[in-house]
Amino acid sequence: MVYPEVIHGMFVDLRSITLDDAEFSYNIRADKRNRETVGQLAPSLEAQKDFIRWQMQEPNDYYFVVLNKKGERIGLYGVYDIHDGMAEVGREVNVGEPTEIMEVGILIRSFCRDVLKINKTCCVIYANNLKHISDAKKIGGQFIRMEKRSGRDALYFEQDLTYDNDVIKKIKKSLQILYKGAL
Amino acid sequence: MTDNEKIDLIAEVLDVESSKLSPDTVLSDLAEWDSVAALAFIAMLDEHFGKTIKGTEIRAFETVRDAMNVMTK
Repeated sequence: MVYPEVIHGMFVDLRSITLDDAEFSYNIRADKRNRETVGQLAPSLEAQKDFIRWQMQEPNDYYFVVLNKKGERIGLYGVYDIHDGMAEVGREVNVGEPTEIMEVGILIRSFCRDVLKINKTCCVIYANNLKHISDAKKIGGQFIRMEKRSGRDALYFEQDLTYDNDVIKKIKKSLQILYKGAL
Repeated sequence: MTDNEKIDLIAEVLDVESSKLSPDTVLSDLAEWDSVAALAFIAMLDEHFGKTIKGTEIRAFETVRDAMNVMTK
């Protein structure tokens, strides 16, 4: 599904992925720095294009390219399997600055809550991705169960979007300070 | 700004007691030193020192002293 608008932040913009992003998305997911933490890799660039074609027409599935304010593509973020007031967030890769990475998370959270009108998200993180697991817990993710994804052990978390815990508040406060400084 | 005042600001960034920190404290030994703290450090540096800093520079910090060294106007 193609979200027709660009989501603007102070440090990043999010726009729906297009076929022109196939090579970028394939390469960033295949990059050895990200390979251990991203999900199943398309076997070829053509397969990645096929996936994007499928994604663009799939209802309840959003896939964004993250751009810095120079217009450079620095990441990807997906919101999908939207049903019963919940969506899965993932397909995430981000190689930007801390300000950019944190703002992406806040923008996606707002998109889910304010645009999609959902109250809860879930995410699945490979068991070897200890940093991401730690981050998910810190921002209020509740561990629900172990799962297998692409044959690998993974942890399934759910997150309540109606409540900002102290860490989310701290992120928002830090971004607000930087927003003021940038004006 | 004195070193103690800088440590107070770093403690605020990390949400820890100032007494837990010294210039020789190794940041990677602190569970609180994470990506959220890195963002808070960037915001603190902007707010109090009018400076910007790259993520790569922050990731290179080994001790509290390294963080203190960039806390200048």
